[in-house]
Amino acid sequence: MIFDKGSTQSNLDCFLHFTTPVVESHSLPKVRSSLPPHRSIENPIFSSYYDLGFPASVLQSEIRNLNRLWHPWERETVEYFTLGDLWNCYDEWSAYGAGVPISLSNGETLVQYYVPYLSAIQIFTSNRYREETESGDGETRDSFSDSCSDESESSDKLCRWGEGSSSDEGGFEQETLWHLNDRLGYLYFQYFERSTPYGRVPLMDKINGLARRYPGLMSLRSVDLSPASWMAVAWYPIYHIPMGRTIKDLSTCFLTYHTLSSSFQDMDLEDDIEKPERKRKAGESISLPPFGMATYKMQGSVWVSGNCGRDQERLVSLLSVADSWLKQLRVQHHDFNYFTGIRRG
Amino acid sequence: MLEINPLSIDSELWLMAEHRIYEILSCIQPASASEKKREEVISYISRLIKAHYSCEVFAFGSVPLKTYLPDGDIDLTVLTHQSIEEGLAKGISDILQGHEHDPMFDVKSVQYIEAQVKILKCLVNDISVDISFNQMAGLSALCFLELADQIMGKDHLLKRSIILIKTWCFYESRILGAYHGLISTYALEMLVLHIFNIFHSSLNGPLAVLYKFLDYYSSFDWDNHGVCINGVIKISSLPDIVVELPVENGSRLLLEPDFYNYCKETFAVPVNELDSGRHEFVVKHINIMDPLSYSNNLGRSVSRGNFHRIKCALSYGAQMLRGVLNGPGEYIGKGLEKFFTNTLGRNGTGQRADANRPVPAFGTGRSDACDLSGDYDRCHSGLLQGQWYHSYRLPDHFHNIPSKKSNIFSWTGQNGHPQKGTKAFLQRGLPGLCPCPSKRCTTDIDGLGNLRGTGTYIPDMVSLDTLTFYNTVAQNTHLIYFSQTFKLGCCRIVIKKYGPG
Repeated sequence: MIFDKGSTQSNLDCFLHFTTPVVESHSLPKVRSSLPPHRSIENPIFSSYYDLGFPASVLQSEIRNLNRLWHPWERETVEYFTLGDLWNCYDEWSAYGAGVPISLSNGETLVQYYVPYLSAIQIFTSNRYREETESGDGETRDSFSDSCSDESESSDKLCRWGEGSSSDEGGFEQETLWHLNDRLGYLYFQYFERSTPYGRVPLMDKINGLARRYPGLMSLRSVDLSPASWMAVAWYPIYHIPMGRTIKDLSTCFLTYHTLSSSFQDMDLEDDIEKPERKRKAGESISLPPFGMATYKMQGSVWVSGNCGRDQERLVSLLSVADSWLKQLRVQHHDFNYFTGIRRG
Repeated sequence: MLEINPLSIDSELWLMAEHRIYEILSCIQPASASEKKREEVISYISRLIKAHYSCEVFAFGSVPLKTYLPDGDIDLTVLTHQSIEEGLAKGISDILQGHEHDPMFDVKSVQYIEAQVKILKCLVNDISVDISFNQMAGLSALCFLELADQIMGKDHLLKRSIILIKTWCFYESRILGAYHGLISTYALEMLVLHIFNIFHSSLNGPLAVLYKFLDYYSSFDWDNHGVCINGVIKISSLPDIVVELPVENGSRLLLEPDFYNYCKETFAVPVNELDSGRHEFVVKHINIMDPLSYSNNLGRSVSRGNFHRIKCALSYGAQMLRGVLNGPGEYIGKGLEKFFTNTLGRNGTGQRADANRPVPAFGTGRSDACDLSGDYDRCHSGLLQGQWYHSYRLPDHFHNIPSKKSNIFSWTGQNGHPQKGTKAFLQRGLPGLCPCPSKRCTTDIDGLGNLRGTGTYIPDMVSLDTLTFYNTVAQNTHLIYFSQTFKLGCCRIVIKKYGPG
């Protein structure tokens, strides 16, 4: 791979670009339902709710909300990727590391390599999957409830979703956490890495191991996942070529946050004024750039000196988005706390 | 029936594939331009050190072995008394920093790393130089590999394979580098030697060795087995060393036990040079037994996390290469170039990181590649010198670092510059048991020949160039010359050395 670093790309741009997975996309045609309008769904996956025999009234409002929530944009087809394809992007990176071209202030260029490790993941699906994994163990809903139940606040304050969501709070007064989970979807699987970096297994291996017990990790599609689904990837440096002298800033570690659901695919998560023509066309591969990021041991100017100071702002913004995401979900992300120096008792 | 190639693909296609690898190797393997530049840097640093301290400086590792990559560093080791290593390191560091504005040689980034092994790192003309102290193990390893390469023949197939595999490990899969918790170069060389020793009959080109390497180690049971040159060690039997041969091997090993025993005895590191005094093999994630020291686990630098990634890399690489070689014939060449994409991107354009002038680019049909023959005699004499040096305790006054300005420690030629050569100061009465370095009798990398016979034996303090000392002592103690012949596979090797009467 010849690293084509555009002259306008800063080192931070390069890092984000070369660690963004680009996944093969598939299409799902829109299905017109023959049900009455108030029950009409614009997405085939919600038929599952009917299959499970949920009370129609609850379901109606739920579906309408969820539907608008999960797939607010009108499209002829729904494009999606499978999680299995997503993990394939990390195959070579897990084995060889991902190369990021870096320009130093003295004009030297080199390529720094980073290995991805699964730092955290939460997969929320539609309720259909709840049935399949009812007998699952500690990694599923129970642990999520545990993490939420640490808070003493009442349930209706929990996890309000996104902007422009129509929250139907009235119906939730008596609800337990169980029902609240329904707003996010069913927590099919979650994992939070706690071991030291020296002992970790690269992302591909980790996923393969976890998928043996949770096959949905491979087979689930982005359209099956709620917008709450996300993952964090920790990037640890290997070495750079050419090696030469030691450059402190190149020992920086990164933690990138990515969404996994189709809901956000057409959104410009980054306000990228400079590249308006890069908006994704239908049928092209789907890219999952990080919506949030934390860094560790960032000391010098390699990462912040580009783009006339915009990099610095960007770093701050990425960090704050990651922080607020975790707060919304009310989860403790071990690596995030470690990277940002937060010590929890 | 002998396999022509591991995947039994069409033999013409295989030859074409090996030829493409040959072209790729031509961009990587030592070239006359890189030899020149590296030799200049080694010479410069050695002269600097010798001008101030009466120490021998030896190159070891991939430069004298001629298996270095264009981005590879230069390993030098200074022979000195162990108790003054630290002081000497700091002294040399000061000297190097003092030369940071030398117009002829650009010295930069001088760093002193005080780990278990003290190392001085610097950049000289953009080549990374590592200066260590008393790294006898490095000198031993060099001799061993040089000898192994000569025995294995096939036009330095061992060295060419080492270069190719190192290339993949460094530029493509990034699994090489003990400093980064990855595989050390010597460990990698032992892994390659293991493959050679067992599968030699079916390996006729570096591509075959690379494929075998990836295929074999990607499915190796690292949890229960370790690697040693003549087979596979059962970890559960340690500390007893139980060696098994991989089942598929039907033919004889290339290198027989006599060879290792000879190497172990001849190239052994003096006891006082070993750091921890461990006599047991410590089991880690990757276990590779050093043939020159059975308790030394060469895979100890690999951390648990990296172990997983290395396995990942070997599997992924094996799968990719298999895919290329099993694919349509017309795409094999391009597939191999893609397999070495970073390598060619960095080294195929005609620019080498370790050469001052351009070299032929990839695909032009021309090459600056030089002969890979090493200088075994020179390597061996360096080792012998080191072994001799550490076999005796030097008198107490040697524990002080000699003053830089002191005349008795420098040899100034008529033009005022430090003469090429070193002196050894010895008290009378030191035992004369000393093997003569070689039948060619040149010990110094700068060519000491013309200084022969200029020293004088003085009863209390001796000031001699090393060569003269050897000759004098040899005469005084009636050393006997004998030879030992080994039968090594199908070769007869005659080793000559001088020993006690």
